[in-house]
Amino acid sequence: MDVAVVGATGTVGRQICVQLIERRIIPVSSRLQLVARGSGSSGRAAHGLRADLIDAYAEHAPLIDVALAPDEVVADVIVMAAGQTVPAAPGASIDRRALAQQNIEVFRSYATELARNGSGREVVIVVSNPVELAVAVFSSILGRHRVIGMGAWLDTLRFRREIASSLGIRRQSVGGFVAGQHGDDMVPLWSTMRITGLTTSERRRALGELRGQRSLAGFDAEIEAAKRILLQLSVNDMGAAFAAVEESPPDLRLVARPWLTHQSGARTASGTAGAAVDLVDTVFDGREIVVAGQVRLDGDIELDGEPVRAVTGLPLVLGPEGWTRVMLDPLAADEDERLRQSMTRVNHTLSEWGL
Amino acid sequence: MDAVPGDSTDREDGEENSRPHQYVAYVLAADRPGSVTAMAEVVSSRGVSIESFATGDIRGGTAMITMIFSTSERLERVIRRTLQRLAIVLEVAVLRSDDPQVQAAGVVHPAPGTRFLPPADVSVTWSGATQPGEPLLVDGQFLMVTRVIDGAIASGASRVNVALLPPAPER
Repeated sequence: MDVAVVGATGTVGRQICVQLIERRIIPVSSRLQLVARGSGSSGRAAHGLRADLIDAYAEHAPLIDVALAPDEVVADVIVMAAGQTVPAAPGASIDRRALAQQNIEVFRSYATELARNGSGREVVIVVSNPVELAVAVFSSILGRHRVIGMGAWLDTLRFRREIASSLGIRRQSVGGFVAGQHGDDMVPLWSTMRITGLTTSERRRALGELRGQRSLAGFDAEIEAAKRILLQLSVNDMGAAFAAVEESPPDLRLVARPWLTHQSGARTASGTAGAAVDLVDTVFDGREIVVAGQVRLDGDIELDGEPVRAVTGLPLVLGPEGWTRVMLDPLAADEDERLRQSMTRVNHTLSEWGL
Repeated sequence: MDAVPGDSTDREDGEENSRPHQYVAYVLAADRPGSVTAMAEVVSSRGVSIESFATGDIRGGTAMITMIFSTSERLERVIRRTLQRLAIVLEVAVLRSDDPQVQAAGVVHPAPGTRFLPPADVSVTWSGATQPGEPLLVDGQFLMVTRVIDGAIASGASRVNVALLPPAPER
């Protein structure tokens, strides 16, 4: 099975390539395609990246080729990591509209060429931001079941990690999901969290202690307050800001820690790449596996008896040909409400782009 | 160009698109270890059986490889485009086996004491076979040459072979 990484020479794209090879996701007889823009530095760097990867992983590197235009993309799984990103710098804020403006034509060009030249069976894993916009564009052109955004899986892994850290256990002992937008409108689904080895009542007590008497109704205000405090701290002492994050409950840390990482000037490349590569691994696995991701819904779930048509992150079944169905049990009232608000806001944004 | 609108579910192939055809791939590749393996993997890893795989002219560090396989038009396109991405591949051309540009040469050694001639309704160029036991050499469109060989086998010949020639120029 061949993989193409669009935006391979970017910070996240490179990490994705490295992890695909390091984790031996791609067999040596298959192909990793590094996709970059023909004109400019990224096109030149793609050849250098190819040489470096072959050099570093000579024992088990797959075949590697370079593509410098959308119509040259040939693979079974396409990881879309191209496009502008929010600058990683102190005080940087996310202007999603500007980001969308810059990236939507990139998304359209690759989706159109894939539709024209591709096999018709490729699975597209979206990493680029805004994730929901990219998922909407690719879904509208290729078909929605072949397209999944990795944002919800990354958020899920982060939430599991925060809860595991609070309980002093390993992440693999924690189950559960994050839904909604990949951003401040995400919805940590406390009701789905599971802890290996704990009974229902033990779990309820443990998670209740972590969450306190809080609900998602106040989550937006908590996020805003946390960012204000952390921004102030980070001006003089970034270490102190990161230490302050530890004092927050797990769901707030889920939002604050990556945000602060961005503010520090570092990027979340490793975590982002790890989640994307997880999804590639899942597609290659051959089985139907439950993960989380941003997808386009068309009546797959109902809210208040109404079929939902939206792009949002949810737990779902992912297999070799894409995602097949949503796996969403009834939610707690505050989760339901926040998910509804998240979808409404995303839908409103997408409608501005005709999606 | 406007985006191609997608369905809300996966696109499904029509019957026409999924019907298999026989194809001949001409691949000019670097003559070095691993080239043949890489090319064969592209075809076989997609569940397509290679009916024939032959190395033709090898010179100047390159080799002409011919592969024959049967598959749908969609998978032929995937295979052709994937072959083109291999570092060891210099050129790829894939033609349907009934294309007039797909030419072959065949040799038939008839059964001892017998004489074999191409069937009258097969359009090929041939020579030899003037005496019983003499080999027959035949040249023409691949499927026509194959029919001659099939006929020879049916008549008891056991020493036969077909070799694909480089594509004939388009007329």
